[in-house]
Amino acid sequence: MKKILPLEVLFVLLLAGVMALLLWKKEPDDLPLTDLEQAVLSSCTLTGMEKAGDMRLKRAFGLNAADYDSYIYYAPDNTMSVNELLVVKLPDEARADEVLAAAEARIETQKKNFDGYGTDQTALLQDARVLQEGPYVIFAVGQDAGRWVDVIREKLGIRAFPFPLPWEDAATISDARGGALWSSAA
Amino acid sequence: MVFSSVTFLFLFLPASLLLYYIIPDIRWKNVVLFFVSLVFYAWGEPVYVILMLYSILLNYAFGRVMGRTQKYKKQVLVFLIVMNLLILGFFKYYGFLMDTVNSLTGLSLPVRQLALPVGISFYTFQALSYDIDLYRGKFPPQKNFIAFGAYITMFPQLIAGPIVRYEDIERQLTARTHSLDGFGSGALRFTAGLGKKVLLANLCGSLFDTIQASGGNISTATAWIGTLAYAFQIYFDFSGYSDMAIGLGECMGFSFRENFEDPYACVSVTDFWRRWHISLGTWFREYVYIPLGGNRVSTTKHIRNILVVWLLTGLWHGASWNFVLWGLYYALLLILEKYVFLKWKIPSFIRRIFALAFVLLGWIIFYSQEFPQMLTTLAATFGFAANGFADNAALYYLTSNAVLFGFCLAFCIPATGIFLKDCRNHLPGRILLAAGGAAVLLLSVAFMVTENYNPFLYFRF
Repeated sequence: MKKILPLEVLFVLLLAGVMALLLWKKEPDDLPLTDLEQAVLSSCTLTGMEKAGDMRLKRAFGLNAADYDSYIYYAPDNTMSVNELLVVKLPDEARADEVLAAAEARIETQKKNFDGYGTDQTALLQDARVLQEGPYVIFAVGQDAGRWVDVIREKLGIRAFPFPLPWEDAATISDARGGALWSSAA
Repeated sequence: MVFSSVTFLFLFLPASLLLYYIIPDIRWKNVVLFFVSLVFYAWGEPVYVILMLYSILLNYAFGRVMGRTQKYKKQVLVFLIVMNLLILGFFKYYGFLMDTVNSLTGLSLPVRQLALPVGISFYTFQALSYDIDLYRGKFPPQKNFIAFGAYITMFPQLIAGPIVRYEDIERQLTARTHSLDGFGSGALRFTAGLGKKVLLANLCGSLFDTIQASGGNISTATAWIGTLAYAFQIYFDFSGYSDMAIGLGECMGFSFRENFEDPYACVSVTDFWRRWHISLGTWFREYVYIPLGGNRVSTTKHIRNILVVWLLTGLWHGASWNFVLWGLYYALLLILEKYVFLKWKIPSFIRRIFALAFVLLGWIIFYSQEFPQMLTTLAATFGFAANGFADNAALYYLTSNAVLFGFCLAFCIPATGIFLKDCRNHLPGRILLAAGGAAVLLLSVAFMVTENYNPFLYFRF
């Protein structure tokens, strides 16, 4: 018993440590969206998209620009493109649900638009990224959507662990905090 | 990574098998198996692999302790059960519990939504089976950490079962035979599973999703077609995965127990559960039902035992109220069967029809995450549908999927399995199997490359 109890305590503490490590979440840095936009533009090529304003945001997502702190929106530049990138900075994290719901609704609408003939577009919509990082909601559709999201998360200082892993760079930052863990097409 | 993906089939699997086979010694083969299984898991779960390693270390270390002490054996077992259930409970049920507390009390306690570690229910149950059977003295503790790690992480059955009990493969971890025949048989079994998954389950799933997207605007016939499509999808999805797991195990010299035996050919609900997800049913029977007294107790206690087991079976499938309801639905059916229906003399074919109807209705509870949706679909199946008994949509779904349903039915009846097994016994049969296997593999790969609909239902459990 004298030997077992310390071992049990050790494993309980170890579990607490593992849980703390897995539950640890770094809050994103407070950055203006222009910084995120610059980060994406400097490391990725945004094809099939063009910068869009309040009207198109309202039309595509039903969101009023004035209701939010700020946003960047790149909309499809032609009728056959589904490429889109939207980042919304919320005034209050409690309002994330309405933006997330608008993003999901947008995906469904686009899927219906391309259902039956746009195989490539449907595949891209299937892999759409919708996630929240603190006051930021990110929505991305496109061949390189994962890369855009990684760049944004890296810029926001999001990491999977409290410490940077030796091999960790923008491309390997895990999606484990809220992202789709197991892509069926993996 | 899923088995039905190009990355797995053309990169991970060949590399793993090559590495596994070029190493002659069984101990080093276990090292390879452990290592590639960790890579397989980390491919999709780079973070949660730490949790799995912790679980391996915990059960291995205290397994060793249990082997050294008689006096504190029970205390060690209780500690292991508590720790394993704590891990499972926290990562799988924490959000569900907090949501329930919030909705019952009106509080707004903050809930951190955690991503569910894939396969946690499967590997935790395997670890628990090791702990409990070790306590019962069925085998000595595994002293080799790598062999124990290989048992827990073994990639063929890591993320969607079957739940392999340690006693079944204890000897195989140290001595197993590798043969060309075994490899060929395993490869064929894997291909059959791949075909079930890609060619049948995915197409049924696509039909089911289309019908689901109609919302409540369906007829009674469409509701039944949708439910049938889901029944086929979940069966071919899960049994296909089990076939792939068993086949891959065979390729590596392991022999896993069967997980399905033509469940839709059941004559009663009790019989259905003898044929469906056998490894889970066996687990609950061995470690919950029998320790509670099984059926060798008073009627009241027997009913309690059934309720407990089925409540847990429901919860095992997911942290959601519809799974709890689904478990209780089966508890009620099994109690009624045991004490009422099975005492009646009913012709076998009528019993089959009723059993199948109850199973199909059960799937509606299973797949409906929302109660209004569940009630609408259930009402539709009983004739209270928005679009009447049958409509053009039902006719369209039925005619456009007649071939698919035909194949599904053919692979649900025992005769097909008997025929395929018989083929192994003579040369023309073996040629037929080889040609069929090649065709299924080619078609499956073609579907995997061109189709992007490829969900795996049992991943979330």
